[in-house]
Amino acid sequence: MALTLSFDKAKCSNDALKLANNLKLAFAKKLAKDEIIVDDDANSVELTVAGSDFRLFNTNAILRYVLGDFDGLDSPETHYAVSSLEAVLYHPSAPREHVDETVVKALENYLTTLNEPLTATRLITFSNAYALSPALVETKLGELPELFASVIAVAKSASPRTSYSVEH
Amino acid sequence: MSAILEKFRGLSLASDLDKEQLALATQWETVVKSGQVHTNLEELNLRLRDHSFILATITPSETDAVVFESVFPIIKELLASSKDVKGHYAQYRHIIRWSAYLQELLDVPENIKLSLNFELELPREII
Repeated sequence: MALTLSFDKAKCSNDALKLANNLKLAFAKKLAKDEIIVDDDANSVELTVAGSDFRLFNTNAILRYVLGDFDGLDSPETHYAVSSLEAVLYHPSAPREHVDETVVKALENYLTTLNEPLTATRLITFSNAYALSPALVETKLGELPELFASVIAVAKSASPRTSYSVEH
Repeated sequence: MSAILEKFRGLSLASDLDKEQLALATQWETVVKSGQVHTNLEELNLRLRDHSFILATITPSETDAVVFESVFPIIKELLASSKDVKGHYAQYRHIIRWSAYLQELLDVPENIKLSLNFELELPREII
């Protein structure tokens, strides 16, 4: 089952949203049991499976599919990661105080440690919170584990900055 | 739990989902929870062009009920608008077909149901 993945390079999405998407895709690529081919020519998020019409365009779904981890879909953490953190990612003009408060709540309630075993739910929460405020996450968590540092580097290199961005 | 979801669960249509269907359920429920339904209407229409229901199930799934609840007011507003109604029918024809079925199944009150014009002649869809 050959999977092909494309990172978010869309010009119309803001930088924080793009970083969150690309963090989840970089986690998927790094933690996948099988090799995933990256399509560097495509600009929008997509996962396809060779020989099938199956296709995903949402990065939370892609990460869960690749890891085969659908636990916690109805958990308070998933609800917070999607309805609060991710909803803010779609509003680049949200007031900075509101963005920081949303990230601090995630750090206090869910991102207390990044110890393994890591779940897809925790990686989604981390990706959304980090993309909204890298500085707050790094200050609270200190030096990030090797896995996270390498995924952040991949995601940043796949996320060319545009003028349409959230201010940090 | 919303009234629509409660009604759906009362129908006992739930079925076991495979990995692909779970991923699709995650995708569409994330779209709803992050408030991105409007920007994904084209994707939803495309999905419903190729499948009767979102997860390619034989009967509707809970994901259909969750997405329907968010899509219903948007489609209702589009069809109530005086501008380019025929264009909206043509553009979202598969969502409209799916909504028409679900509003009956989920017993949406008559006074808020979509009022559909089945006599409208639409341009042939080019796939």
